[in-house]
Amino acid sequence: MGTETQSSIELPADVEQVLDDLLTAEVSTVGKDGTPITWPVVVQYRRESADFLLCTSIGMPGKIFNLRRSPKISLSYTDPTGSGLANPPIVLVQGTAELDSEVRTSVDGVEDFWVNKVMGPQPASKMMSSNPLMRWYMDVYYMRIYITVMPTRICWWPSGDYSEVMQSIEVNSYVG
Amino acid sequence: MWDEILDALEAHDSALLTGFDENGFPFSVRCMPMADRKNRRLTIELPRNADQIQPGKASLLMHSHNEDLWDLAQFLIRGTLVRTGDGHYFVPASTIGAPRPASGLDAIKTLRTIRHRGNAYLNHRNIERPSVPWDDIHRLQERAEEWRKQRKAD
Repeated sequence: MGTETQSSIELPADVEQVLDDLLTAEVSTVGKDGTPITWPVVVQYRRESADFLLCTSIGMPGKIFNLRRSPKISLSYTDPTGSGLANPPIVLVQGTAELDSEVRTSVDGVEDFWVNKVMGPQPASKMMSSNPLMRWYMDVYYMRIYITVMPTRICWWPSGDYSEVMQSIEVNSYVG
Repeated sequence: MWDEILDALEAHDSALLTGFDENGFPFSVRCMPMADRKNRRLTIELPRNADQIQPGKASLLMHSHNEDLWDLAQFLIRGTLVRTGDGHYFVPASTIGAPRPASGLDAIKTLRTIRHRGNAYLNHRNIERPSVPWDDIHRLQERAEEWRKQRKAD
């Protein structure tokens, strides 16, 4: 299976700001019985590769199992708490997920994800490595499977409250 | 389950309804479910400009966090979205999570569950336990402190 990414996605500045600054996105995958399962997760929008990066600990593997059955995924940006933004656009990204095959603990190449999306916005996450007991007990927190979302459509509601007509772009970035 | 759902509605201003669009991709929209206590279901008014969700399997997420991405509350209701002549209602089937932020004891239980599931993931696949590069983690935590200082200064 090959992938091909377009060099950039042209989005309005306030939509890009939402993708950059909201602390979480609500990530939806398809559960075993076909029900959409949605959970808040931190996500990094990567302009240079026109994709989205997230990961999950093997201690919370539900998304992994769901995405192995169906790669269809969506990311909703609807909660601006902690972002500093007031009434930003509501943004919905639909796409296809690619999963890394291996459990990874190295942070090489994903430093910005950890600093800007996890450790920076969530100071309490430091407790997971704060002393020898926690480092022994919660090492699984740092055992991650990374997920790359290749967007197929990005929708947004400029006013942030659905009072305006939905705007959207199709993104033909995924070639299976 | 119904009492937990009522508690969640009281604790959150809105919920995120997720179903599927006509292409089979998940599609989510913020809404304000109203409890129909008599029928133990939730009445949902979909916004006119975001009504692509098809009837069928759906879920409702209510979640919150503070400015430091802590005091997390995450509550998901799985169920079915039904379209009627003049609107929609949601029939709950099961729930995941808790309507309000976890207490200290609940947080400890969550950590125990994460460790248990992580160990099971490794054991079932015969994966050797990978070591964590703690020096690298601590180096990133120092960078994160700088990130926070910079963000406050901005």
